[in-house]
Amino acid sequence: MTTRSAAISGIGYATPRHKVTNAMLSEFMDTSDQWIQERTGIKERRWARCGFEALGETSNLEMALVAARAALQNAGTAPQELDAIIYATITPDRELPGNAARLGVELGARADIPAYEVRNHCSGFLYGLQIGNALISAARCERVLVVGMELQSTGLNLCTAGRNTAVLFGDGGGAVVLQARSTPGILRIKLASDGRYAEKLGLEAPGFKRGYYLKTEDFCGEQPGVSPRMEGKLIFKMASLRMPQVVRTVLGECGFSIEDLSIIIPHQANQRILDMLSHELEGRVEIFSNIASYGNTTAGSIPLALAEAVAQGKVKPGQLVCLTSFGAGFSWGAALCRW
Amino acid sequence: MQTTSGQTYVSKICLADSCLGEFHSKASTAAISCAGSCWRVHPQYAPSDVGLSAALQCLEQNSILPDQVDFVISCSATPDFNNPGLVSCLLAKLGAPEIGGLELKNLGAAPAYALDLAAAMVRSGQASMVLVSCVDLLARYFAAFDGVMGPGALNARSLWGDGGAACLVSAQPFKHSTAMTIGRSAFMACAPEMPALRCDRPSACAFPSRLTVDDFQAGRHLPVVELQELRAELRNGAAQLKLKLTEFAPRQLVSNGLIPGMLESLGADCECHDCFERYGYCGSAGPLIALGESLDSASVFEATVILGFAGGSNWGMVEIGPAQGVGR
Repeated sequence: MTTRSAAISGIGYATPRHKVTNAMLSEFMDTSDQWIQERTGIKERRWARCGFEALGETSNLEMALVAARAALQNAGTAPQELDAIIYATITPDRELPGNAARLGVELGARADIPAYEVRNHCSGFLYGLQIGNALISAARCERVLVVGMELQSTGLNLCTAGRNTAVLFGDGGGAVVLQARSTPGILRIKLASDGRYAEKLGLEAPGFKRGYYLKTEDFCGEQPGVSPRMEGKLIFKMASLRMPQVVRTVLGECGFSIEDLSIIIPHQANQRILDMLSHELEGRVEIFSNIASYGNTTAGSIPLALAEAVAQGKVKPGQLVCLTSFGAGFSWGAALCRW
Repeated sequence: MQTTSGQTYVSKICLADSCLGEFHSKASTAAISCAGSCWRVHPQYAPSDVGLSAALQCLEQNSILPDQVDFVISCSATPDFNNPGLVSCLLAKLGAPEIGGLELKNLGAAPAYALDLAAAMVRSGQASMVLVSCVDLLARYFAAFDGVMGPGALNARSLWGDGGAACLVSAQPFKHSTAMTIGRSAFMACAPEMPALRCDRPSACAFPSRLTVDDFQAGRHLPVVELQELRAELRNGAAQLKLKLTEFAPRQLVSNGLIPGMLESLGADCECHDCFERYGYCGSAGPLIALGESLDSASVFEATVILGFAGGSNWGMVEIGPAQGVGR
């Protein structure tokens, strides 16, 4: 019997260069800087495109390449040393196939490695970590690249009718290199979901539930099927319940308490949810937030926040760090790591 | 920290109830002559209903309760909703507790990914009972579309069908007589810039990335299969595949098929079984259906390799074998 653990050995991130402020959004829709900040905590976000204007970066894959190369360099790992690629996104460059296999080609990774296409929304990066952790712990792999990246600006409805979602989402994400080691790195990952709420947050069309993929009717009506739906109050309530709960669970299962944690890196959905997370944990641990600068980058938000926290010196070797998420599905989870 | 040890076992594989759909003859196109049938699920059933049918049979036939499952891997490119994934709907219908549910979109290669990952999770103690659900209703891409299709979309419509199957993976042997163990795995992921099998929209690169009425009417949302290019991709990946097959030396090879006669063209030196003639290309469901049918027909059951294709240069294979001394 052998003992192995997966640990994050390198991290990188990428976002479009262009900042879109709340004031800029008020040119497209009936909103204001105050309205957005009060409800979300977001001041600006990075977008690859604003309305009809392309602002530079054009694809999810291009950003993933930047983040992946930075993570590989940070880890001192060559692309050919990777044993698997895991790519979490809901905004791939193409519906089929996804970006993972192409990322390997662009990076110069070996062709004989698996390339996982993960579609778990806001929890996608944690699912990616779970896959990488399993592959390394079971000695299937030595080094795994996990990417969480989104390009959402091209799909947003910038009219007033779409403001409840358009102001929230941003582009960007990050990547980590997971590496096998004999001392503890990732200590515990707990993932959970409750499909009874599948219709409360997401996008109905195009989808395969109704006997067809897409119909003209999907584009019609006040709430067309191709427009995202989001029951904000319910999401806030459930996220405020589930995130602190799952953080406590992973800590408890590893014999730790909140006081042992140095920092929590949560999915950046809304500052009010992060404030509630802090409140539920009685303010006993720092909750990292960069949502004011990037908005909600779905599967990209945790690696992007983690990369910034590391760069700011808020995550140091030996510290106990917890990553946590909540999103569509509903799905939620937490990963406890010894940095 | 995790520990690694022991074997992993795969349960009997169960297919979705065939009453959920009907078998239709494949339609030939100008580019391809097709024999056999495709299965098409009746419109009132969602993809998660198909997954539920296979999963419930699998649980029942292996004497496992839903609350004994502690992780689900759902392989599907055709979820109920655009998002969240099929796994959310499946978990709700299954009545499973609040467990993790991974959504993988690796098309025909997905079962190999899922079985290998499930084995890794079980071996490392991260899960004890993993449900692998493979469902793709690929025929639905074309169900309500009455516009003009290009040759690539016509090929896809002709070759693609629906399918659903499920199995369980655990560290404990299953009692059923076809219980198997999971062994080595191999993968190839080498997507060309313009894959021969693809669906270009929706795309985050396009503006707007969400589909529009114009996209729908012009059929830009439809998947395409470029046959000539696909054959070239297959040839490019064949050398690596043959190398692995030689290394694994299977007695039997089960697989989905992308196009007619694909397995024969690879020249595998073993008994081959695929479900293409009966089901068409049904994405992630194909390899599991082929394995389930093969086991039910009591054909060779030693050193079997399950091989899944997701388009020419992308495939995954997992070696399985009979579980020693279990139920036989």
